[in-house]
Amino acid sequence: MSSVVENPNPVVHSRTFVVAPEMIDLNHHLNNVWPVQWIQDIAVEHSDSAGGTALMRALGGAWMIRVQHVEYRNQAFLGDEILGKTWVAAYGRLTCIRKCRFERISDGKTIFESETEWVLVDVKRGRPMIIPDEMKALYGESGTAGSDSPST
Amino acid sequence: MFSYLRKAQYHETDQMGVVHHSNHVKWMEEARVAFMDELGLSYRDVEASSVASPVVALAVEYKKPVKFADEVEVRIEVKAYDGIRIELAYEFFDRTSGKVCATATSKHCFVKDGRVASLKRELPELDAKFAALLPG
Repeated sequence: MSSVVENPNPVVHSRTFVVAPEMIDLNHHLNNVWPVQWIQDIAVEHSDSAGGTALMRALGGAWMIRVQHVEYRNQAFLGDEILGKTWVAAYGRLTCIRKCRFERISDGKTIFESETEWVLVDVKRGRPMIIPDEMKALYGESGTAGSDSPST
Repeated sequence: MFSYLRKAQYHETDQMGVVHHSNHVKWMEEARVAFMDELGLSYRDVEASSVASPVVALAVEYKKPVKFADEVEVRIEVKAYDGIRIELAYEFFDRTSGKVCATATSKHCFVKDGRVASLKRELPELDAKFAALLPG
């Protein structure tokens, strides 16, 4: 991975998820596949709301995952309300590091956390493209702080 | 090394025409279940003894996209095992392109009745098989 620079003032995007019956496996808890989908969903929602998706399309680009790590801290059960938070923690020339944390609202316990390296790919050329400053600014690099911080 | 063969389905592809990354995690689970069957002690058998092996961590590195109808071998091996935890390593080899399209690891613990369990005590047969598969 190329060297990355921390995003000093990331915008945090939040969304609440609810554990539904189809997400429960034979161990009677949230199956490990669903968090991967939630991580994707909240990232796309963040990108949509920040204007990143529109800019990505205008650039002829698409975000693709290169590496994803997920740590499962606690089990979640049917009906649990889970607050997801995501932010872009760092940038490289061609990649960004997006982090997520999902906590159960009732007791504040972290259910899972993730770190994902995304690459901005030029769709026509099929090759990575440099992330423009205009894109970085949408996620807080220019100092546009979100309504809360990753630690809250 | 155990190998599980999977053909990429149309419903698993996204707008880019490639298999969506979340499916790799599903294929890992399918490969684990098949791996356990191969060892002679299925997931169902293990759960019948009230032992579960939840995933505590996942890491996937995506190297090449997988396309519809590609045949992918999910190669799985035991990377680490200490009787209460196991780490599995995966290699996704695309037979169609002849390239490794992803690598991954999953970490699991063993629990019984909500508490960490020793596989040696609960399922000694499986414990011996995992121990025998350790590298080196």
